[in-house]
Amino acid sequence: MDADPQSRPLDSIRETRRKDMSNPSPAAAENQPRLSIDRLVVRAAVIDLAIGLALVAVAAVFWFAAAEFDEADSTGVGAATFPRGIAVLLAVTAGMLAARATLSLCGRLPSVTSIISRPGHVLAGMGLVILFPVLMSNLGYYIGSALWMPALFVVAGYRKPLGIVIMTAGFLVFAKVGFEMILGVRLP
Amino acid sequence: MSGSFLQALALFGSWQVATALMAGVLVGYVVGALPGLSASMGMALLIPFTFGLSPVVSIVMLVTLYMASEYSGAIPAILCNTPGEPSAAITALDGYPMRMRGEAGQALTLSILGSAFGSIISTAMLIVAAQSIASFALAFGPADYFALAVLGLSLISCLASGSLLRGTIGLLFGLLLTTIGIDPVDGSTRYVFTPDLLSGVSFIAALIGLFALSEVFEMLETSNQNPEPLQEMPGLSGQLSLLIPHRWTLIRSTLVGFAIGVVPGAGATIASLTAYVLEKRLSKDPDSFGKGNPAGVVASETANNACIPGALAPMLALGIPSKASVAILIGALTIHGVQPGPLLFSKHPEIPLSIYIALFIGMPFMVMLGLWGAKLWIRLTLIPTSVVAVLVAAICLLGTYAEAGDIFAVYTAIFFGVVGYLLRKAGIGPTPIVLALVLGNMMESNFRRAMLQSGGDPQVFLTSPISAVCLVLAALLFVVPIAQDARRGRKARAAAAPETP
Repeated sequence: MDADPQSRPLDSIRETRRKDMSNPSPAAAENQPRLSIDRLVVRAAVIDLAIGLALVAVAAVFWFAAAEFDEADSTGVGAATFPRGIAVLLAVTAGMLAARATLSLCGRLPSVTSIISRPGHVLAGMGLVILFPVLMSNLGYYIGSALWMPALFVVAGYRKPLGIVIMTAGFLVFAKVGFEMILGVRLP
Repeated sequence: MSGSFLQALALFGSWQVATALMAGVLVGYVVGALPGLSASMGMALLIPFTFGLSPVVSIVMLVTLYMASEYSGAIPAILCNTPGEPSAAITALDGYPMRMRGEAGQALTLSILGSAFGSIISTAMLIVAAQSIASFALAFGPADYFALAVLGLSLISCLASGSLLRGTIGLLFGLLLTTIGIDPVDGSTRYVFTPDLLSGVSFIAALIGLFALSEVFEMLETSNQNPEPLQEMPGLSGQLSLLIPHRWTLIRSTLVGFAIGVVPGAGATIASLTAYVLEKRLSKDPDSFGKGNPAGVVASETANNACIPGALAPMLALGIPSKASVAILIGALTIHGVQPGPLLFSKHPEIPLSIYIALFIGMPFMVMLGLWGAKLWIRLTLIPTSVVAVLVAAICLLGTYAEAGDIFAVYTAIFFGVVGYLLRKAGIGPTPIVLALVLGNMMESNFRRAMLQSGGDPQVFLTSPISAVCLVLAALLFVVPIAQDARRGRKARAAAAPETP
């Protein structure tokens, strides 16, 4: 059912390599998680296991939380029927993903490595994106964006000060004219 | 009829109608290309401007906006993997890999020409059969809608080829999310952990997060690399000849798009998806789909634009809105004292005729804008990834806020951005989740309505011919790829057996 990882989406971006566990000698060290500045090499089974278990937990939360509105009508079908049915199916399929990952980690199935390039930049970028609504709520859209966009430019690797100023100012003018003045969107 | 047609055509000689047509195309082009702004939002924003205009001028402006926005949603989908419209998510599957190969110009050209073909042929079909096809759409009951949704979801088996398990997980995760909010049948609240979730998970915020923000995080991984060199754009005749190898795809996708557009609630996303899967099934190289096959772009864009005239059929003939954008069109006509429905063709023949003509005349204008615009848009691909990542993040967060008008939607988009990025790392793409978000409510509400109507008898799903056919097709679509994978696996093992010592 779960076949070649080469067919996973966006292969052109993500570097994923299949490694035969029966012949691990050339790069056995790559199967061990390690963090460097440029890339994080991790066994795909570790990611699969984490995602699988997380989704099983999500399914469990939805199953148990459905008790609050579990009132079936005369047909035996109620508000909880559909979400509980889906939760069971999700738990089963995510459990299968976790089980396959476990077998792979035990060496029973071929192992695959995933490479996350520039993990520090990705984490910093995520942090900044999460910070954006906080800045927007407290400082207003324009001041918040004037601080946020240059920081994200730097994290993304663009370091030309004049370019950063021009693009940030240009974007804020676009937001003012395009969204506030023409579309009538009120920005905080 | 011919007298009315000539009268309606004469109206297009007036500067008011011509200006409305161009304004509609231009605004639709911009609205569709901006993630977060949908066709229905653009139309709703334009309605106040139509108060002082005649019904014909108003409807021409709104219809051309609707048409243009459905096309231009493909532009950010191809360039940044960020669908401007939900249906463009299917276009991104092959359009974005083409852009990554330096073929953005070809992808944009195919999308505009495919859109034009789909729209024009579909409009011709609308003129011929508006009233009869609308009657067919009315035959759909709750059981049929449920089966249609199941059929739509079963198409995931084709989208997630190679990893059906991961595609199914994405699909189920999306379906679970659609259960958050007010129950569609009895109105009880479900999983409303915060009052902001009362109306459920914002679809636009989820779409932007799953596709665009997760892509931004992917871009941060490669933002120190130079963009792919751009391939030479062909001239006009070369652009037109790009379509020739896809002539059968154009015809099939137009028919699929039009037929699905007629069914209320089905919409352009299902049309794009169905046409895409059909092409993949018929292709001699199905594995190339999702990796930059031009036929995928043509199928998706042709179908979603062919869907527009189809969606207008129930409105014109019966006064029934098949989707949100069409409901706004009905509202705009009602404001002007025109009631769509069976009497529209006799009382106000100029309205349907103006719509037909607007679709025909607006499309060449849009094609010129699209072909000329493609040469400019592809220049965007030369911008460093570090700059694109920041601008895409900024426009997505702004668009999300603009669409919802509250900060919670921005948090929702960010949540889905992070989740989408993590799921991508596990090989679970955003498309199955978005597909489930589109179809989840339709599936559950119609399942329960059908069960209520039948007194709890599940045989209702098999006794209705439409429902039975859809369910059988869904089962085949889901089972056949598994059987094919198993057969390929057996062949591969058999071929490898002699080499094994």
